Amino acid sequence: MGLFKKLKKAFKKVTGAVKKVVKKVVKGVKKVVKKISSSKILKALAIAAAVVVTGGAAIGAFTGGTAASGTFAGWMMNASQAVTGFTVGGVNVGAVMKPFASAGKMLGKAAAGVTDFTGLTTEASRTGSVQASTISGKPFGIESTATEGAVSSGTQLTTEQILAGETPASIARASQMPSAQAALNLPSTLPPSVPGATTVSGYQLNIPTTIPGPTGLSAGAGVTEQLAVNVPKSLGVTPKVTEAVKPGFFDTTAGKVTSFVGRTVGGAALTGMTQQYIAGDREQRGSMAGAAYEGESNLEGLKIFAAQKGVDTNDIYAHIMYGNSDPSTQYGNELYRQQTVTVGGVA
Amino acid sequence: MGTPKRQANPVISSSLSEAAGQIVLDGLDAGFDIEDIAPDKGPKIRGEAKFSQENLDELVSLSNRGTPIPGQSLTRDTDNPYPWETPPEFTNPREALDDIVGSLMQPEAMKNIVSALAQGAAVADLGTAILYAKFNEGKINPDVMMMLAEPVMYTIMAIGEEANIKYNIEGNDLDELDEEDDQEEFDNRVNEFRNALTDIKKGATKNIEPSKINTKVVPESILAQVKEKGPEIKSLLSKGEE
Repeated sequence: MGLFKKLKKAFKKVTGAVKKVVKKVVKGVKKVVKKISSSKILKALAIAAAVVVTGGAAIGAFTGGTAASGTFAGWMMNASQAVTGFTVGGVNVGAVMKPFASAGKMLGKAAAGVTDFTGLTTEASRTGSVQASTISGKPFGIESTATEGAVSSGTQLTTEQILAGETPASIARASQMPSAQAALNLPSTLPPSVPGATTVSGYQLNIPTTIPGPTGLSAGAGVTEQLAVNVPKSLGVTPKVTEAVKPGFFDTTAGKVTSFVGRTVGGAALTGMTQQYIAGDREQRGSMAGAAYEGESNLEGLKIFAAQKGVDTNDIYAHIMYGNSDPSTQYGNELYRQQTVTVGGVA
Repeated sequence: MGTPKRQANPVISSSLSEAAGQIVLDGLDAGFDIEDIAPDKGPKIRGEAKFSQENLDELVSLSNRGTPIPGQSLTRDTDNPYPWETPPEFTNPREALDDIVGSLMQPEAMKNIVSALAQGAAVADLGTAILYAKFNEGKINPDVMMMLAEPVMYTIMAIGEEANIKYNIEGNDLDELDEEDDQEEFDNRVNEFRNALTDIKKGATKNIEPSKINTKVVPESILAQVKEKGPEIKSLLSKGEE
């Protein structure tokens, strides 16, 4: 039997086993909570599991924001407070039990993406733009016809629309921008002056009044890079950097790692390490919250946990755990790889 | 809406199903209502699989394409290996899970999942396809692929629930849980009936003692006739003379 056939067979077994376990748990819950249909329990399980798997990002994404504290998801996520400070033999195991730590990486893209699916928020809110209720003007020659009320309240899609693969964004775009160019949100002409408040699809984009010089323009550069060069040129502004194009910080390996760390551990790291690196301060690596080096002692909690569970720490990846206080979220956390970050040979 | 009386208890389990089950029970115990956890969104869309001759023909033609010649994989250029022949991108299942679930949560992926579930695709099949694709891309190794089956399936189920779809978990088992519920309810009713019948029977026969039976209910003349004609007396239901 070939590898793929074996895999298929093994996978069939696994999925079958998963179904059995699901049914078993549904029955187990049903025994405790009577008079509730199995499908309702299955739904509750699916939601709870999604919160565990995505670290709450799924619920935040589905509902268009972070889970509120009064809700079940919010309550689950608050479990971290219950376990932080939990000690075993004098060692703070709770320190490594950071439930939903895995959420960080996904939260940005997931929450942004899926909220389009539910129609409760829009991508614009994620990108930091504000509604154009107080802003007038139509830079780039594009004027939105989207009603603010419809956008703010969230366009609720019908089942048919969801199945047809439509999103509130696509519906809005289709109704507003007939041409292919408009659908891509590309400007047809460059503005005669520095853009201030820009309105696209009913939202104001906070375009900076000072335009950065070209930092990464190359053959086949994208619209953003072209604009970065062409706009100052058309405005008669001399770009600050005019020498040969150098790769940006985020193009370097260190930059990529930093960016990855930033995405993983969230805003704290960005405000700490990344900003300081960008600012050129190589002495200080950033605040403890996100980017500082974690010592060996911080791994002791994991070791104790593994010992309690009878797990060999060398084989810890094979023992993925689930729950609202799951330390396995820390198995590969970037916090423990900070020494890999180097900029210009300075470790 | 129920308000929680306490904080969540820490839950750790090697099985996601069990962890989710414990969390749900903990939530209910803490004061949440089932409607708070799994709010009702009205009638669900039935993701019923429909037979399609076209699809079946396509499947048959795919399976008839033949299989690789034994040893064929060994003849490939070692400098250009398949992605799955190279070291995987993720060896840590947690990181792989983050990546996969992150990609599932993208609008385009979700639309496809919702559409597939609504058309009758099973959660297990979708999960298999997704993980198998990741393996093919060289992102994960087969071990991680197996380990992530459960969380990926649950994520797909959560998407299905969010889209208010009644989905298949494995094969065509759309109504399996409901049928089991119905069967359970039927069994319960039958048991109740049996118990009630037993109670009635016990209650009715409890005070009857043969020695206390009043034999004078039937007049003595009739009893004498019965004794006299004994064998000749035919039952009302007996076969008549031919």
